[in-house]
Amino acid sequence: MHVSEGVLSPPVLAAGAIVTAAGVTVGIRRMKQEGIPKAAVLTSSFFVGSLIQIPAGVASVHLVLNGIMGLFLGWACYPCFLVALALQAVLFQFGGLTTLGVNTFVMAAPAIAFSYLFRGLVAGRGKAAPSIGGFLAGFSSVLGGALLIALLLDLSGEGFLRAGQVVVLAHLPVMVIEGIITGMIVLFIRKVKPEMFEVAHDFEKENI
Amino acid sequence: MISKRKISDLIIVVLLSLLMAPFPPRAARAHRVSVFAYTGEGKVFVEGYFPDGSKAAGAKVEVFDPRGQLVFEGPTDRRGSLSFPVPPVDDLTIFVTAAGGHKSSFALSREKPAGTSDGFAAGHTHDDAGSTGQETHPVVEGAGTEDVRSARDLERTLDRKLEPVMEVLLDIRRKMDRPAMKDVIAGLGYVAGIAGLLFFIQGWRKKRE
Repeated sequence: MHVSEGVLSPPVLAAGAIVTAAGVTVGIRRMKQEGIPKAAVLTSSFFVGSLIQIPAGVASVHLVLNGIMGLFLGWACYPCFLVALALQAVLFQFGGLTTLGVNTFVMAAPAIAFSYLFRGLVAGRGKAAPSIGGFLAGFSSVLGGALLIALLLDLSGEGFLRAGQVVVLAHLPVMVIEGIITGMIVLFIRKVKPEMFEVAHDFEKENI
Repeated sequence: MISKRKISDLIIVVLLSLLMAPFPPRAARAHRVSVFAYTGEGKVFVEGYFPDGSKAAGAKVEVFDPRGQLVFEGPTDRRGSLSFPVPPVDDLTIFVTAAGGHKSSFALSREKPAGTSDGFAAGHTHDDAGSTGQETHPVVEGAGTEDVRSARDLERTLDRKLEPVMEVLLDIRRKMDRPAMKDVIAGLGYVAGIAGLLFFIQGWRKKRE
């Protein structure tokens, strides 16, 4: 899920950087002091999660964990992705510094969108709704990221649409695994510490 | 109040970017599809692989000469490797682009052992030109045809003998390309440090308010 240097065209890179700068600003504004340890722990998990490689034929894929980041952090996941991706670029040579903006956007945009879309399910009663909500958020965030990469590669005009389709296919196992992991984590946190969710205020409405 | 908030937000962003500034850009030049290339028996062997050791099958390989002219292009096979006759130029830059926008390069030089972005060296013999029909390296001054032939035979034998050594080098390089534990710990340390910094700034902001 990391696009490397020299693949995307400069306008795409610039657009990615601008969108990410805006997202990071909103994220930092929304991050409260008491939310910093949570953000740091999730940033660390995301940073390390990418080392868990899943062999998938022609492309090398790894856990993404952006669905979890979106559900727990909301907009604050933007600065967290930026920090984690910058560290991955520098320490592991995953992605690159010029593609930092694009890569942050690819991770954060679907994570935030689907956390909003499935927050009702995640905040739902019983066991089924939160686990399904978690699964869908985890699954769709990875799918959204893969589709965005496919789109950006195509926009860069290198005839990459087919390669992009490969990205989506290669990430299918990751989507399923992430869906299951996200569903389980959502269920667990709902039991032990429901206020950890960025969507916690929805729970209050439900009187949980 | 709002302007103060804006200023402190700006400070956070600037500090974050400053944290990233000391790292040289070359550290992030290559993505984690990795390339290794060497020559032997008049061919250039290229292999693309991922950090977990899996092969980059079907990746696009582009080879450029020092003037930036494309001299060879083709896909890697199932084992992530590709070979092609050595082109009649001294320096080659080999780009491998794997699916999903993963790209990396490898520099191969005739005169000196090839260096990569990491400064890793790969051996290079000079019989390549001969095999492409462009003999540029006279073996010994005044040497007869017999000597030239035996010298070529010797080099071919050497290439064959060196093949396992190259395999070992490639294996070592694959291991080197995997993220090291110290990098993981360094990353976690950075995250903790940045969180501490945010705490400090927000505490300072609250105090001011």
